[in-house]
Amino acid sequence: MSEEKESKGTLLSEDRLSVKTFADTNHNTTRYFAEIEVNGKRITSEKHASTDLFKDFERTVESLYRKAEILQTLSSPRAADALAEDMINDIAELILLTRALLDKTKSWRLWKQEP
Amino acid sequence: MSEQIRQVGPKDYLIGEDQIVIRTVLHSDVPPSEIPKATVNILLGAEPYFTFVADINGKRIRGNNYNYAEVFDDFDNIVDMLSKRAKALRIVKSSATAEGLANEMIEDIISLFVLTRAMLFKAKTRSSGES
Repeated sequence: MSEEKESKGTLLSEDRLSVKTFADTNHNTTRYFAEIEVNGKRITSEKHASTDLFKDFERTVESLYRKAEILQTLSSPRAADALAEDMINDIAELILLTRALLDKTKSWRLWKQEP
Repeated sequence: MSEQIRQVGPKDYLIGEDQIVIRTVLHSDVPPSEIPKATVNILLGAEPYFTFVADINGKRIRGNNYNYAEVFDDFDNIVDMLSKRAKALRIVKSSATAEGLANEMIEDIISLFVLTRAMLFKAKTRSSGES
């Protein structure tokens, strides 16, 4: 982390996050995935079935919370860096799952012919 | 999570594109590396705090102040709020409400990102203080 001086405070980090969320309709159940880029590093997420979205969201939140509990006790910088990177991947996954939940909700409303 | 880049197929539809820049800032009367030792300053009320500026899809938001000593408690509170909003998203009655709720969830998620950076900073300064 850089520690550049700003006019107010110290800039600890500047992070660039890109999450492109896709719906894959090749199957009977729509599956969602994302192309994720965190500070120039690209990864592709797992696919999440539309039927599992809320369960996957809750599971990711719980996993993130457990990792945060560990991070506040770590004293090794290398281990802390690795764990924080893992948490940031979870956070990107939550963005994908939020977009997917929204898509599912809106599709459901469309199906119910919302005025 | 797979490290492999998957090809987007012909029946894959883009449903969301989020471009986010997050600047995490520490405010402190003492140099960052001195904070773990600066308990006197903290007791006198000059507690360091974190804040942030984020650009979310072109919209700028400024974050709350997160006190140095309370970043995990704040993380805990936001996780709770995020779970409640996700539950609400499943039962909202209109698309517009759903859209608004999803945007609030994205802002919660950005706060979790900032608090992760804050906890990482604390872990690293704590360990440098111990060495």
